[in-house]
Amino acid sequence: MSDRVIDRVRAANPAPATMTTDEALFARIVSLPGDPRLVGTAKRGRLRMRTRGVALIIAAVMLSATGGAFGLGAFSHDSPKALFEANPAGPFPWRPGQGVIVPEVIPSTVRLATTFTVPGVGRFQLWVALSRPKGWLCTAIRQPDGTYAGLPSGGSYQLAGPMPGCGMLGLQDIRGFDYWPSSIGSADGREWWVAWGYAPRTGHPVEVRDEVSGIIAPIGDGRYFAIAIPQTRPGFRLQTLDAAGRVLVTDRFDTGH
Amino acid sequence: MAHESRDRALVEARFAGVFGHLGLITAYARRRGARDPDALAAETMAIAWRRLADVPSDDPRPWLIATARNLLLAEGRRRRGVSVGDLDGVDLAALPAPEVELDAEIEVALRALSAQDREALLLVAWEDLTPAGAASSLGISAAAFRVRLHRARRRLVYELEHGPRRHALDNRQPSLEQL
Repeated sequence: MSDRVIDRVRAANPAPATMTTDEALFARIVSLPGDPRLVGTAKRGRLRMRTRGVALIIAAVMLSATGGAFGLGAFSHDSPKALFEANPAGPFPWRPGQGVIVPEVIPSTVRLATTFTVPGVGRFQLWVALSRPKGWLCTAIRQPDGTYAGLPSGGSYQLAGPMPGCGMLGLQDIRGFDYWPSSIGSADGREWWVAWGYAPRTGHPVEVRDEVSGIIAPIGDGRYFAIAIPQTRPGFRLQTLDAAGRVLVTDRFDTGH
Repeated sequence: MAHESRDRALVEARFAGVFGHLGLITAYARRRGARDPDALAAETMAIAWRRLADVPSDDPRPWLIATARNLLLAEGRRRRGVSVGDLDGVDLAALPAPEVELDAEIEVALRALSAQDREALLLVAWEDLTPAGAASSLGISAAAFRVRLHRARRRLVYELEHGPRRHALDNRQPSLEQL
């Protein structure tokens, strides 16, 4: 078979690629957080070795001290998958007269959506998963010590918010923001807003910005974000930005006092 | 500090090699009917920056095209009002219709191909990927890709030589439904 047919299709290319340079876009993108596996790889490698050693010692001490006691601390150190399968949030009411929804996590969809740092407190993780019936999101905030925010045994942190589990956020509302606002104090006495959820898909958003403080957080998987904002005002104003820095959607959260 | 700035420069240099394909991705997005090809290409590059360790440094094009295709499919789902929770597999037929002018005979012949065969052919003809690169972009084996490309070529030759002229250009659809 001749390649003439390929050549003919090639010649009919309605939009041939051109060499494009966009220095502003390049600068904008590299100002965003890069791949953590590459930036400062050598330095982090050494740090990780030390941290892992300390973590192993702590784990050994905790195991010998607790004797594997469970109960009040159930779920507190489970894997995110086990946590979602246990679903501490439980069923939730649907429309009046239509009973409750008992969401069930789809295990293959459990993943780390993004991380965020609260200065003076530590790095937190937002874990997400899809669930059945379709359209409901499972979310959990894993705290720096491995415990989960919102559980009665939530470690030594005071990050408020919903019980982790499925049904906390609805994926149907794809046009607007859908997030949980919370707050936490840091050791130096400062208070922080923390918001996590998913961003509207209007346009091609790559990051969320608080217009008031200027703080920016990346959007993971094209949907999920988590951001810590200093509480200098009663509320915050979230915006999605595309890769060129254009504002796509704005959403205001105001406590009113 | 010096180590960090050197690492940073190396990573940015690596990304610059990826970013050099911005024009290719913009053209791909335009040909496949993206609503805003420039924005979609920019988002593709932003994802490449965040996941740079996953982007092959020898030839990033298959990875970039696969990422852009996923964004196009998501855009297609949004246009059709499908929940973003419905993430079942990659449906090439869901790619939005192109909004570009195309040689009429070629357009009719391409429309006769299945979405999968058409994408295989266009990755080679328009995106200039090697069969191995195109297979990588589609997430299939090189052998499976060769079969797909062979089928697409054969069908296209048939359509161009014997294809139903009944798709007379006056009666054709205003745009391709599935390309």
